[in-house]
Amino acid sequence: MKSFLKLVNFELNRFFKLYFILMGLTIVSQIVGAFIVAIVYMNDAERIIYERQISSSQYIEEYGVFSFFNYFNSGWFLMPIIFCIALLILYVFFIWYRDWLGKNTFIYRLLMLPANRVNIYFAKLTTIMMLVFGLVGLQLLMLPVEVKIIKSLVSEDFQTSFSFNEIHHLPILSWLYPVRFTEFVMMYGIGLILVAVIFTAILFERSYRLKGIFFAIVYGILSFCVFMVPLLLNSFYTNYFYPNELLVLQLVATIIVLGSAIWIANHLLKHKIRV
Amino acid sequence: MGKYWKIILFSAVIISSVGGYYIQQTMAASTNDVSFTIETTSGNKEEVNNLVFGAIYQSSDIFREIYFSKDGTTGWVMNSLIEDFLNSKGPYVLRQITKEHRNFMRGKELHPNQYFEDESRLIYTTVLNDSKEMRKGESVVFQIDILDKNQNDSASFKINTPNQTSSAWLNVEDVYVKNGKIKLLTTHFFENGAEELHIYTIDENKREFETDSIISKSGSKGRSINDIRLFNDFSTFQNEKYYLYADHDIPQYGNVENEINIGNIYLYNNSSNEAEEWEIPADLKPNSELMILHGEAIFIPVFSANGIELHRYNIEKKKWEEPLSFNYQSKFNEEELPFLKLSDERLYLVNPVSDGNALFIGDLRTGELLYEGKITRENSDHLETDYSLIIQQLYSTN
Repeated sequence: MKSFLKLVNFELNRFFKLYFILMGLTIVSQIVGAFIVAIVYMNDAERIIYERQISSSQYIEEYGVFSFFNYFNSGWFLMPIIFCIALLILYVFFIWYRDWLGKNTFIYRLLMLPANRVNIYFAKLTTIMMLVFGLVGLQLLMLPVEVKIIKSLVSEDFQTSFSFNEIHHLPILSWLYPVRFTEFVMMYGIGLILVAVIFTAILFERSYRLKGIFFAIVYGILSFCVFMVPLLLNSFYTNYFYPNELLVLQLVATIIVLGSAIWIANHLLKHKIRV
Repeated sequence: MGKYWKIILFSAVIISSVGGYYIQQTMAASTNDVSFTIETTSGNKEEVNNLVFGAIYQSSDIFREIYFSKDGTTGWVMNSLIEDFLNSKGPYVLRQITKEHRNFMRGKELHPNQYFEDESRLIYTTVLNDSKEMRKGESVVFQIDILDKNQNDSASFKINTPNQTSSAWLNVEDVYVKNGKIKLLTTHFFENGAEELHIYTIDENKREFETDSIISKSGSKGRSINDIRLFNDFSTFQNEKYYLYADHDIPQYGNVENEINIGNIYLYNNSSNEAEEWEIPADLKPNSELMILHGEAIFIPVFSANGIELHRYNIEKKKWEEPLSFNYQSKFNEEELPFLKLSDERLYLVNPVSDGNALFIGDLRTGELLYEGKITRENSDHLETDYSLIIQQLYSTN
């Protein structure tokens, strides 16, 4: 356990500078965006009211009130999220390859540690998930601040009511924060399985090199097929399985895919990995 | 432990923010739940005892599909993936049947048109041809599944019909079962836009095909498509004594909405197996799109600001009877007509009013108003003031 914690701490340290930059970028972009979107809306509203000599209520009737969707669909809000997602996807690969391709072949030291080698796999997996959840948590802390900024800048007459409890109705946020906690676990569980399968595929490549790329692709396709079996069954035999039966089938498929990813990774790290 | 501060910080931020958010969500769920209540204004309260309304609730950007009765509201949040996945699909009546006959209903299509039910049996029919698409000359193959409700025993058989022309696909519209015969009303759609209405008769005991009668044909007519419109309500599983259908002209160009025309109207008698043309009086022709066949009568509703006038034609007596009038105040709008359903010799009407929806139940035999009530939203304090409730279906759980 101690070596696992050490490894996680070590992996986090390695990414921390870049991670702080990502967090900073997200905070700055979204806060600045909240100011800009609200100010631009109010300036436009005031300009139109002045130019057309109409009342606020007439303006609202014709142009509508400020919708928080304007902000949540703006590049200021969405771009940093997309950027973070893209960078973390890249880091899923980089977290392994940097150990081989870095200045010092760090993988030597990792593999020589007097602990179970599969700890390296789990530590990297835990690190990726912590980085993801860290950004998910940061975004949750940011949302009320952003809503407050907008509410303070847009006159009350021009606002729609917005409840923090309804963020799961917003386009990208419905994926980040599914409506129920069970769905949150399921959604990020699928993400975890995907990362685990990619990690194992990387280990195939690192174990068998050129041939390993072929093994990795075959393994990836097989894992995908097993994961999709319940859904494929449902599309071939429409309505044959009831929803709760499909859920159990999906759970079994998930356990098989995740279990085999860990088992294969353990085997490769113990017996096949090449430095 | 100090050297693990990053892990501790990460974990603390994640648990407090994500955990806090979902605790708040759970607490808010009860106050944000949408529920509707039926308040009686006048009449017999028992009239609403067995009613279940299927509706779409919309408020700002939130859409919910809900069912409500006098006992409460059930529904699910449309953004919820797991609830969408886990909730039984199909109309309410079929969900109930699925609960009762789970094994029999496995793998069945969830269209009420394909079912027949009486005290002892539940019959399901489907077309077995690949994706219901026909190839020229291919035989239509039906599968009939029969559940003996008393014995809890089921049987299944296939029926091969004679060669067909090249219809592109077909739908089962209704199942009629009487005196050992199963009759299937089907619409055949052709690639050129033409349609045919068939009645297939199957001998239930011998499990043999008997006849295939074409009771109506339509085709392209110059600049319009001519389809066949059925006016029966096939949402129940009982026998329809008559079928009411008409040629229906839909222009291909121009303003479609204003130019749809009901052409010749036909009435098919399931007892005598005969179809005859039926005339609609000229003054009611503008309302012919709204015609409803219910039991042994044809009803034509005429809506106005003062209420509804229900013109009725008695098929058995072959004569028009005194129209029924149900008066209520409404913001009459041709584009948004009230929800109207005729069922169990009752008229059910839901009309939007400023503070909710008014519900009227009338007796189709006497024209008497049996019940008047209001459908209102409960616990509105936490919810958006603007909302709409679009009633889509009404089920009786008798």
